Amino acid sequence: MARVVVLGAGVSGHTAASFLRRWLPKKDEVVVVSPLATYNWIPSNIWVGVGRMEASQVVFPLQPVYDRMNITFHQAKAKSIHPEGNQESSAPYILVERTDEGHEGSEEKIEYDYLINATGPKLNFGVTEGLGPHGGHSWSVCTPEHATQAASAFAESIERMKRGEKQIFLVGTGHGTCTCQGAAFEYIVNLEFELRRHKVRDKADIVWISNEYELGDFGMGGLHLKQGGYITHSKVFTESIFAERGIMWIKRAHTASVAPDRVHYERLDGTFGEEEFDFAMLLPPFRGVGLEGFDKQGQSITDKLFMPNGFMKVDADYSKKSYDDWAASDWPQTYQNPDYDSIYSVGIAFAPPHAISRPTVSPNGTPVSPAPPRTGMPSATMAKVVARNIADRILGKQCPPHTASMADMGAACVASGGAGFLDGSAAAIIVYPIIPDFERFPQYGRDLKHTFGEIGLAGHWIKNLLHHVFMYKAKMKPGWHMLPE
Amino acid sequence: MKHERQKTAEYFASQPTGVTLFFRKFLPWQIIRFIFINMKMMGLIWVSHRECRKKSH
Ligand SMILES: Cc1cc2nc3c(=O)[nH]c(=O)nc-3n(C[C@H](O)[C@H](O)[C@H](O)COP(=O)(O)OP(=O)(O)OC[C@H]3O[C@@H](n4cnc5c(N)ncnc54)[C@H](O)[C@@H]3O)c2cc1C
Repeated sequence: MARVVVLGAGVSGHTAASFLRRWLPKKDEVVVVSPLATYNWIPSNIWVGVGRMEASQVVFPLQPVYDRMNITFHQAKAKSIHPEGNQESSAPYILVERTDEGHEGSEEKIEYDYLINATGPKLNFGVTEGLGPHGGHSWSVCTPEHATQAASAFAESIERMKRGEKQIFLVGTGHGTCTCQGAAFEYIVNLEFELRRHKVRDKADIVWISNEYELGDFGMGGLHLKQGGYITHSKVFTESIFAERGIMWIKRAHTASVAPDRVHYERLDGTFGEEEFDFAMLLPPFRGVGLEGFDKQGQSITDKLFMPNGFMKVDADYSKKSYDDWAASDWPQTYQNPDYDSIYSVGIAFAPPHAISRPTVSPNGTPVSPAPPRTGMPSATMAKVVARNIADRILGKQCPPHTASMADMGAACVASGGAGFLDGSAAAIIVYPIIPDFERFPQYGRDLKHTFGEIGLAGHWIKNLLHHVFMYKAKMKPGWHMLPE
Repeated sequence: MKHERQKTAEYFASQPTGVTLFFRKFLPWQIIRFIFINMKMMGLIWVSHRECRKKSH
């Protein structure tokens, strides 16, 4: 009998656990450790954050699903990994701290044969003074709770505007090294859509602030699309969406601090600025969740398992290279830790080998460029491949490992531009490969046959459909495994 | 309100024409686009699987 422990029940951890359960015989145990009792379909938090959905529509309790599927669930937070066991036993284990009601804080040891780290990001609000809803002055939509708080502040602003007051809305990135610009982009266009729906658009100034060098970078250097007889960079489309909706923008900006009514920021050219707001939704930068590693003697091996940013080392090429020297082949294929081959890491938790967007630093030494994103589709795809490889190893199959490099994989992303069955819209974006490969596609790094973007009502239908399909799939209802990642 | 840095940026950005805006909401056209985009997405999944499979064997 083998035991596979999955840390995290987000997009990647939940996918890995579901497929492991499907592919492993009953005698093998699949264990999920996650601090929250619920699963959250994060992309739909955007709609919670503008009051278009309730938090209850984007979450569901994990325990009943796991009970039905014969997956063991520990509501707990992983603290440390002990891949060599300890002095009493060489069985690898993790140490967890329970978070379920009545047992908060108590520690437990869980042994494993295989471990998947899918713990996602730590929302690092602390790096920017005044950032975030926990004692700061800006809102977030990263969790259902954050999105609910943002929605009530947004509703309050709408009420003020209905009474004739003017409001300034500021949306974007809360630090120079943020990723996930796509989520902030969705939020700002949804916010604008809702203001029109509430007939208060004329009372609002809407401003985008971002660390991107150009709009439409999204942490992946943007993308080129064939459209209207031209090959056009996503900058053109993003600027066009903002201009069409009267959204002003500040780019190449590191948000340095957030005061109750304004942000102070540094520009890439080293100058400083400030922007007032009545309502701000600023995403935090991400880092690893802070897991530690210990060897048999109890000595720290955290730096062997993790990069300094807290993300886990996998089979990527982490050698120091200049940006111009990186290759698509530097990106991981099997997501296996190089020192401990029974440990894998998927989704946001694995350490990317380098940035995709060109790193830039202000004359004051402040980095102002996006970190690489790892969106839902690649996170789930790599999780499925890791599950396959672990299942093959347990079942004793003699075959080379399956791979899922982000340089071989495409991603589809549908960025909502307003929720409404007949008047909504979304930008449907398909990019292949995610990591530009200038050896295979010398001009733009991407295959323009499979890289595509379009704005329209159809995109909104797809976005809405994806919400229901992925909630269905995550609940592991009949036929779930046939639905694409 | 003063937005000295971006007042002009909007002016330089491309903007959709009335026809583009109309087709973005025109139901018969959007139904066709719905099918087309879904097919594009299936194509992407297929090509991603093909490339990953190549590496695995
Ligand atoms: C607002 C927003 C909108 C987005 N919209 C889109 C979109 O439209 N399309 C798209 O493709 N992507 C989108 N993304 C990105 C997408 O959500 C991520 O790619 C995806 O969630 C990554 O999955 P993950 O499993 O790595 O991390 P997560 O989904 O964040 O899951 C991490 C899991 O680990 C758990 N965990 C944390 N710490 C520990 C610990 N110590 N021990 C055990 N478990 C732990 C967490 O509770 C959680 O269950 C969006 C992101 C945000 C924030």
